[in-house]
Amino acid sequence: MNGRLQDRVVIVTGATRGIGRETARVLAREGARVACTGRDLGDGASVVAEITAEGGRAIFVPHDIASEADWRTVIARAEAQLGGVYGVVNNAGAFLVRPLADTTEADFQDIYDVNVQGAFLGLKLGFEAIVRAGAPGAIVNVSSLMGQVGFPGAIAYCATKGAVTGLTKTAAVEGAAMRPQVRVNSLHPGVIWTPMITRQFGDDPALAEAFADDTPLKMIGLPQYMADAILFLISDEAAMVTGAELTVDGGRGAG
Amino acid sequence: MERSANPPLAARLVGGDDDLASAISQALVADGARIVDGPANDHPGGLDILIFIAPEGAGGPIAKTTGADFSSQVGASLLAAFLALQSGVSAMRAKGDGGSVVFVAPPARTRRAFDALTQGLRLVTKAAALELGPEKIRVNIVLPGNGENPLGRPRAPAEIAAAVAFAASGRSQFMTGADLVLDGGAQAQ
Repeated sequence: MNGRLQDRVVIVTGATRGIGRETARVLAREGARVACTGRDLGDGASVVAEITAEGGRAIFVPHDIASEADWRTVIARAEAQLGGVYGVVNNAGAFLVRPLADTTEADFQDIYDVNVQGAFLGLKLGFEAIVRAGAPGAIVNVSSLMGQVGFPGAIAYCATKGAVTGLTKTAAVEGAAMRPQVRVNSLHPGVIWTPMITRQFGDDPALAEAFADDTPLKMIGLPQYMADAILFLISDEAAMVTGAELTVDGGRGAG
Repeated sequence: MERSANPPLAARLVGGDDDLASAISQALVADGARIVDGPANDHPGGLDILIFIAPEGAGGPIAKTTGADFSSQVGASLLAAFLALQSGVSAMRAKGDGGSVVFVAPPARTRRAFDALTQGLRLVTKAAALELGPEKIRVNIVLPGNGENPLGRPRAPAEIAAAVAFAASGRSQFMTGADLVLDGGAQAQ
């Protein structure tokens, strides 16, 4: 059976945990050959093992998202081991809850390096790789609801996710003018129950319930929901969609 | 899928020209839905999916638009959307299993008074998403472009249908109050 991404090579950053991990698995189930990247070697090996056990194809490449050299290694290994690159999911992200007054320049730089520098390199080198592959491609940038609205106590996160929203627009317009064309869209998750959240607030089921209760759909956000949205955006189902912001937040941002 | 594909989800389409309505029907059926006709509350089995396709209208500059034009193309369509939403939601409530409403806005006409319809539908979408979320009734809007866009591709009914089917299906079960912009990058520049 052919999947929606049959035999297409997709790089998923931050694929060791959370949204990235689930995305890698969902894309692989749709036939994609997935280059999973991240910092934790053990988690990297286990996500590849999971995908392989389901009959999918994946590799893991260690990746400091803000390093251009690492990006070049990731792409070279994807091309050598999986084939020409169709798509990139710029998912790796860093989260920080700290008010403006307490946010140091170093804090801001750390969040910027992952969220903005990482996405910028993924777009720049991803475009080059897609052109080398010679067929139309697609990139999904994982921004945030907090890249669309302000949130008290999260100045660095909101600023850098807002930058991802902006990177997406320009890259979409440039990607449309390229041959082959590259579509670029941003996904804006609401509160998704992942290690990114639990590391900050604690892995407390009562807190997860509180977030659900504060969401119009009264649901806890799961990585699966984001993976399904990323699959839509990166696949041919969204062939007319570029430069768009897709918010998947249980309705949190609707009010 | 959020609900079993067996029995198939009942989907109602309101409006749309033949090409678009038929493309959307095909996409929904391919996703496991069955199309029901007639007023939503005529269906004892209730309703799972409501698609409202707004009419395109003639458009035109404000100076040449009469009050009657505006009322028939913007006012009447917005009211029709509201009434379809109300009756659709009541049929969804009868089933008690949540549901999905998808509005399809007319193609974008930048700086035309008729964009009031699109923006009105967007806010109806968001208000309904907030109000109906606790009942697991999701409400989203698909916003097609007008065929002039950076991708340089005309709008194809099948592509609008693919977005509608995504919004209608369990693949978007955490998405409500969202804009699905299908404009080939027109709004990004």
